[in-house]
Amino acid sequence: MGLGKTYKDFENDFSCDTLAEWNEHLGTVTKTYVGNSECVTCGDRVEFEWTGKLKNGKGYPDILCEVCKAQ
Amino acid sequence: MSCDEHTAIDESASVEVINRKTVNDNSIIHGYVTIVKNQGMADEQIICQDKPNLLTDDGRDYAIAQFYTNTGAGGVGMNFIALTSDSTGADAGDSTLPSEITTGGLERALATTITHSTGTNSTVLAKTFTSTGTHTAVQMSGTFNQLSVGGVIGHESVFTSVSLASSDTLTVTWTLTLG
Repeated sequence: MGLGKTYKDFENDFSCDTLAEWNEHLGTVTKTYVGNSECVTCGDRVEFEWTGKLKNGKGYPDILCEVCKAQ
Repeated sequence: MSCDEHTAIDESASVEVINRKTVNDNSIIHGYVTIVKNQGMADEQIICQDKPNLLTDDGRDYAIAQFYTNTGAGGVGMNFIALTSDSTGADAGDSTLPSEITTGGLERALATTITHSTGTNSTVLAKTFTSTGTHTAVQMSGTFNQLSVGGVIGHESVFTSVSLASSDTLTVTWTLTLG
């Protein structure tokens, strides 16, 4: 599959035109997600790097801070 | 271009599609916006899903500055999300979000999540606003590079207008593709 469409995964030579297809793709491949997010439990902002497959049609991972993860 | 808008979970709700201004055809930075009222609640309503928007002229200039012309440290990303009830539509020439909402829980805010998946062209900005008052006909969103009113507007998108009572939530998700 070429990379002529809107959403592009260069590592897996995949592209598509809809968010639904894109989120489905993210559930099938292991990707690394980087960014800045609020902890879903305590709300503190954290820098994160998360690697895995996203489930349930999500487009980004829910992030837990280290303190909440340790509890 | 078209999008599925106002597709409520309740099957009895109407489905409405409105074509307004779409993304610039020559834009290499595309933005797609999804708006959900009361996400996860019994009365959840998808206001707009995966809708193309436009990159403003100022946003293009800002991006180019980050890539090519800045000689100092880079600027802050356009990761602040703003809302308005203005009905004039998105315009690439806008340098502000007209009549931007500044009170009642819908004031401009840093995205709750700012996430890029490496090896892709996709970045997600998302924020759930919680209304602390009554808002009528909220119908446009924009992204900015600072929290306070002002700054550079990067993207704009209109969506089916939605009214909020106190405690209603509005989840705004921008999925941005570059390249």
